[in-house]
Amino acid sequence: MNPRRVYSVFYVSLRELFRDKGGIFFTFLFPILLMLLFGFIFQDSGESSYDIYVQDQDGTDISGNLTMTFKHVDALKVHMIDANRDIDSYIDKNDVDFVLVIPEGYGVSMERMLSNMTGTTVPIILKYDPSVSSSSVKRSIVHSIIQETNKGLSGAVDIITLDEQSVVTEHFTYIEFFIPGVIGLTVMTGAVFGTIFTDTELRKKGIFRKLSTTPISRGEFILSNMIFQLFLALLATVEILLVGWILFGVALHLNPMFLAMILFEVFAFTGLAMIVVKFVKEAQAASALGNAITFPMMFLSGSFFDVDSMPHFLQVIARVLPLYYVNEGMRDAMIFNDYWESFVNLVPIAIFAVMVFIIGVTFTTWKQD
Amino acid sequence: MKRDKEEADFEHIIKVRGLVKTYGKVNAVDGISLGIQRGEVFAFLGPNGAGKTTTVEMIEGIRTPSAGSITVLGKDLSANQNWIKARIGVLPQEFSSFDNITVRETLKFYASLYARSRDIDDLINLMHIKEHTRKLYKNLSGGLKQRIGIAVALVNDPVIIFLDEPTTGLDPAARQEVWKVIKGLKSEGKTVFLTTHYMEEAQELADHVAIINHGKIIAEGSVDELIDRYGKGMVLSFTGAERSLIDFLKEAGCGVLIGEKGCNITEGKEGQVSLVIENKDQLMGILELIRGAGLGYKGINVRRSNMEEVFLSLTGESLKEGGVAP
Repeated sequence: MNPRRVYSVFYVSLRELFRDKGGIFFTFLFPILLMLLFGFIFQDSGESSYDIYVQDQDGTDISGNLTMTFKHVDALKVHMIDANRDIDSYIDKNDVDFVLVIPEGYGVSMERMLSNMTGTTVPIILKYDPSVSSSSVKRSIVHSIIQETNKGLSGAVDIITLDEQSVVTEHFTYIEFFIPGVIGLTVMTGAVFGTIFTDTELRKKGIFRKLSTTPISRGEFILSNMIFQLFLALLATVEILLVGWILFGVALHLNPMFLAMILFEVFAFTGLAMIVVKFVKEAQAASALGNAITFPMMFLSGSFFDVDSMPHFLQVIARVLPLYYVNEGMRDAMIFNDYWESFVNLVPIAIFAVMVFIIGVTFTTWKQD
Repeated sequence: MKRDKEEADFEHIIKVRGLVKTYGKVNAVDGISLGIQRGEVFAFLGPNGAGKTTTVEMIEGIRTPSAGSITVLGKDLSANQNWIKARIGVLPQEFSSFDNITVRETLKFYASLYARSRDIDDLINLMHIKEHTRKLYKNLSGGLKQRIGIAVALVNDPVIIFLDEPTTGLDPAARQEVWKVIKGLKSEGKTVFLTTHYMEEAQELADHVAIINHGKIIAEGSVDELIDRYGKGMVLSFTGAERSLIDFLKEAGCGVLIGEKGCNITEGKEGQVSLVIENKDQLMGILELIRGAGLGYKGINVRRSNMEEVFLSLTGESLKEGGVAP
């Protein structure tokens, strides 16, 4: 490996792209169009009613009445949680951000209090995520309902009390979910079509033939192309993050895992495209095959919608697609800042990238038959 | 310098023995042997599909031979590819470069691929392309593109330069430009391996010619040797000839003067007529006859037989007549 030769090819590729006004326009316009389209379609997730979750562990008429009070408030949509479920694991698993728990003994303590006005009632537990914007609205609704109820019961003493606990939930908006997906698919299409275009173009022009008579090796050229594609991927990523931040106010976690994800994604798809071009030498056919690979992957790998919401057999297919692991890993890193989960998804992509790189270097050659 | 010494001690700068390239059951190159001397312009001449490019690409290391051996600068090609690559310059067939890269950037790019390269400004002066250095490759004319291609082949200051069909598709003026450049290379002491299907190109430039047809070399030597051996003496041609002169040539010329090898008269448009003459006596004789009969014409031209006729005689009719291929 000679770094000077690798740099030379990188530099020429860069010059070539940035002097091609059409090419540069479409390279960087595509992700923005996608974001605008999907961002605005799904932006209006403005809630007309507020979802709250209630678990009635007490199971008495008194606790039932309280639940009914909440259910009668138009602004609230009450979801009941089975009394036997462990509430903390339920919150964790379902990313529920606002739960009222009526503890066991609430009814008994309430009866005692109402009959002789002594002692205290068992407080109702409110578990909520203060970082969720709708939490404050829901909290004030719940507070006013309890205040009203207390007034009706005694007039003075707060019979029903709230024990507020904050929980951290994995909540995110659609656009937050979508941005890592847009990055994943932009990087994929950029690497696949960039490589297909470069390879078929340079072959058609006889530049590969010329290069094969000079000291540069195929490996050096491939590495150079990968670095070039990585550079473009990073530019597109910065662009997407900026647009997301400016137009949608989305700020995601930018950490080393997210960068590692992009690095291996570029290597994986550049390598894959190289192998495609090895078998389909004509530009148009190679492009068609590129589309056949990237298009279904976009929809099946959870770039636009959560894979969990797809039919089961499609979920099975998703799990063999490299882009699925990119999307999962990217979201683990960028939305949840979860290094470990992100790493778990990085491993299959890294293995795939190394495999196609080795196949690409070994089986593609400049030599003519 | 060490490099020069390493390259010096051998008889042929390129030596090819029994080279074969097989595609399926077809031998595209069928047992070719060649020896090229340092400093000569070698023309590998043949019609399209004869196997020229396949042969030259095997010598350049782009294709792998099915059989045979290639020695370049005294070293076996298969074992010394990188060493040889550093010392040869190649203009591939139908060469093209990066569209949106300027001429200077193109030269700098290719120079950067070599450990040792020539000064770019020197090269620009040598190729007379100074006024074009800031132009993008895609905006250059065909002839200029070929000149840039040759300049690119020179960036590593190679000992041997391969030019694969350097003037195919160029107009006559552009072809002249490229020829001038190739003559300049020769005067610089470079060895030039040229493939072409233009007979006049070989005649104009080459010290040493090999003619290839159907994957085999059918004749080899200097241009003079080939014309002497396979040419047909002289060609006498008239322009603006009267009908009576043409008829006279067909009768008297064919019947009396040109006996042994048969009569070879070609009639062109608007009174153009040419005939092959074997020697000076025949020429003088026929001119005397024409003068005596008072036959009219506008112009007259006598020239030596050329490579065009050599090739015709090698591959066309004369081959059927009994064969002259060695």
